[in-house]
Amino acid sequence: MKFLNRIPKRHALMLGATLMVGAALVGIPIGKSQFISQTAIAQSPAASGSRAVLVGGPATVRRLTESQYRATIADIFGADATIAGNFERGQREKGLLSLGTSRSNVSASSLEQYHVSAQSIASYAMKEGNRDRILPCKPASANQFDEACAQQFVQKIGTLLFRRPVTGGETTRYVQAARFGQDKLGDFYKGLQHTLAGMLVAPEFLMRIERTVQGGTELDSWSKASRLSFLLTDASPDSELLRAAGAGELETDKGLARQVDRLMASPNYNRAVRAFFQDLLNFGDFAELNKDTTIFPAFNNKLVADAQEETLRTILDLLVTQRGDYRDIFTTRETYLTRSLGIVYHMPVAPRNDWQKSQFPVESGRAGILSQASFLSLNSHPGVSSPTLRGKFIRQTFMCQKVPDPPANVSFSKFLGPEAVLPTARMRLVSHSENPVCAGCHRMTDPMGLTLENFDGLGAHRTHESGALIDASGKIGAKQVKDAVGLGLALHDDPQVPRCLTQKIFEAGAGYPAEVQEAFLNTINARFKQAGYRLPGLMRDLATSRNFYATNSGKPVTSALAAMDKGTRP
Amino acid sequence: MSRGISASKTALAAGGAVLAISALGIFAEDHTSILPSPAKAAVSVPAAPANGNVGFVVSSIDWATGPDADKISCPTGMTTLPEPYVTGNGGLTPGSPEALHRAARQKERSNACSFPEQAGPDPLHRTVVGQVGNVKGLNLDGQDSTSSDNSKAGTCGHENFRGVDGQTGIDNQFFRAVGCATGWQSTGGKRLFGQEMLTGAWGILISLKGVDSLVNDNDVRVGIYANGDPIQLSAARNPLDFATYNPDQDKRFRAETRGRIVNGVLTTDPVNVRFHSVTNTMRLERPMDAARLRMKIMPDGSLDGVMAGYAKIDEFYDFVVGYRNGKDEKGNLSARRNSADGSAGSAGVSCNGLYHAMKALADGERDSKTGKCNAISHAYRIKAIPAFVVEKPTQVASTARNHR
Repeated sequence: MKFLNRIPKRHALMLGATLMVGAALVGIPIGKSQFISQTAIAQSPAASGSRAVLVGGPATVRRLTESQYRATIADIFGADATIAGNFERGQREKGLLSLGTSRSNVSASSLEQYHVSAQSIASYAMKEGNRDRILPCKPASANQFDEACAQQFVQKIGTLLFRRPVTGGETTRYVQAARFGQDKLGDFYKGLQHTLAGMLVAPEFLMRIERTVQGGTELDSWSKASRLSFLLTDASPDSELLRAAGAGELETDKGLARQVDRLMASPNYNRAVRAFFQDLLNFGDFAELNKDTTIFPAFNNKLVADAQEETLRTILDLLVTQRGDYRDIFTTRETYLTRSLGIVYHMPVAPRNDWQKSQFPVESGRAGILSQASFLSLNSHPGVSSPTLRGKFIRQTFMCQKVPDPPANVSFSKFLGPEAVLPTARMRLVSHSENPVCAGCHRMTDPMGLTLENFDGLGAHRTHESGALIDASGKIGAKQVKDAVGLGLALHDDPQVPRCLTQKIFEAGAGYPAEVQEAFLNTINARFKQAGYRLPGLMRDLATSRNFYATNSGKPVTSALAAMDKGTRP
Repeated sequence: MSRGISASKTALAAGGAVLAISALGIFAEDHTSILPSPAKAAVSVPAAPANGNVGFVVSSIDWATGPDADKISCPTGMTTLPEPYVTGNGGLTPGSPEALHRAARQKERSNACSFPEQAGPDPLHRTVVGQVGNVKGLNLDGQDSTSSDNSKAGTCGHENFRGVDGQTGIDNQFFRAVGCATGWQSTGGKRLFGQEMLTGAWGILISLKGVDSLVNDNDVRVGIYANGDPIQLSAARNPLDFATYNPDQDKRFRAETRGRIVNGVLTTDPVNVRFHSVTNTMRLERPMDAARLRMKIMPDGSLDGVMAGYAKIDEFYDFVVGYRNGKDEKGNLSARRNSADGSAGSAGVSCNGLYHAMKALADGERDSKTGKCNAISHAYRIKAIPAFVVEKPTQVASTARNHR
């Protein structure tokens, strides 16, 4: 860790360094009963009255995702703070970048980009017109080093960036760096800019480093604050949350609940929900999405951006604004359109440069986000749709099922070879599935994906493919459905679907695979169901539960149980 | 989203089925057109949408001038501009057409485009002679006239053309005026103004309301508007189907009339229309009086046909080559108006030559006192693709927005 401590002076030397951040994920026994908050337990027969075991996972070291980095910088320095560097594509784990951050490393080129961003952010922060807002003090003179002011700056900004109080040693080092900067550059603010750039490439900022107390069974308050803040705002804790952490308020259920409710009432909660679904829906892959524009002439960058935004607006409106049933995202005909999207959907959009809340007509055959252009285009090939990709994504993302990758030597000649004369995807897939090596997986994916075949590789409606009438019927489990609307209804009614969301949100928030939390998640999911599958309620239950912050390895936690029995948790 | 038949039909018909019926083989008003005769042909068009509203954006537009000049249509050759090729006296014979042309241009060089009437006719300007076949346009005056026939009120005697399928009575005197000039041949520079439309500078919308059937409907309400939005294009710069557009809200750029669909062919009653036009960054206006559409509704839901009518000579001259009222983006008279001489020259005509040719060939809006016609018939070949025409009080967003 000495290396980390030298960063303010030598952050330029870090450019070639690679920092492994994957905290070893420890196998954790699954407890038969779980500790959750009292509210949950009161309605959980499985846990009620039993001697519960507080099951947790590892304390993690997680790299900030791009959205977390951007949101944190915006919160601390302002929404228009310049972030000049590019972001490395994250590692996806169980379908989530936010989970893969526990296992990713930082390449030399990525560190170089962090450095570029750090320089641009520090420059922005110390620019005249911005610095008075960001600095907690004003130096007596810009030409003379004001140590007290530099200290205040390091402590204020360092605490926000490192998500915990800056230690005395760190303060000294960063103040020294500021002095060094002023000596070389002749200006107090330039000195602060220099040290701020150092803080912005420090692992303490770029990594969410969790620390434990109580013999490793619980996160410390600062780490709890971080886990909570990233779950509910997609950003580092704000000053109030850090204050509450420092005051020990997160150690009481009442104090924790107060902070949870405060964060969920803020506009940043929407940001967190957006970020979660952006991650869940794999929107990061849009950066590399390509379509054959001779086949899909409406495809362009604007459409790509609007398609993602359409889905996110649909989700936010339904789940947060309307506090609707999560399962309705598979059936709703409500949507938001721009003129770019109107071209794909063949729908009029009156505003020139704005969004229009719309409703897909019944005869459009569209229902839910799976019939929107974002899902349909992302899970297709450049020139054609792909029932297999679509079905695979649905099973993995919304049902938490594992679909194996195709074998390396799979033959696609039925699709791509000169003998590929079968006009519809169904015909091609039936032919392809004659290969027993392929049939197993395709039986999982294709019956589901084929229900979306009335939408081409961009998401436009069609009735025919290559002149042949499309049969969009399919099967979800034992349920026969005839089209995309039927698929949406089947998913809506499938209990695996909301249970999967519960798991995904936990994994995104806690940063480790949720298998060890199965019983806990079942209980949380039961509450989710009882409350009508309202997402804010689910997230609140998670955020106020002890399991979300627990880091033990399955041993009984007497003190926690005692607290629960005394009814001190809300 | 390929612009396949299936997709277009589906949207146009709002999910309805495609109709395919046997046509009766007649036109209600059989004015000559470029369209092949549909007699006995099957008509396959999308079903009408439930709300009866269908919209289109013009995706391609071109002068209906042609066929290209030959020894029969231009027996004395092409309109020429000898000046650039003659230096000094150049051996010009005093009194020769070349000498007269040069004298006129030297005398009024700077003003020949601004005051073409003062420059006088250009003796080197050539016009199309005879009936000529395969000419695109419509029979606007309802007669198959010859130069001696000027009996119908409002018109002046002129010789009509024959249409694509041998139809007679085609009125397209503008073709007669420019058919012997290089700029209006099939590869001529003046045929490229449709590309300018694709820059988003201006555009045309067509809306049909009260449509019960796109095969036969004896009464539909037709709107012909200047487009208030830039046309939406693919990366390959092809217009996209089913984009939404706001019509220009200025009454001068909005026209509404009645029409009818017979065997999948839309024809409309005459109405004055006016569109924007942008040339050399100048904002101009493109008017057409008593404009009529004759458009075939294609199986993919698009329109293909002709818009024909008249335009007052001076207005017409101004946007074709004269630019006398060309304005800049702030609405002031544009300094680029002096590009008129070069523009006319590149099209193979002189300003005064074209102006006086059009005056001489004018066949519409006859002044009852003087007996002279003030407007000239002309036509555009037009294709239009499905679009949503949405009325919304708003500013014009295309380049032409500061025209007024």
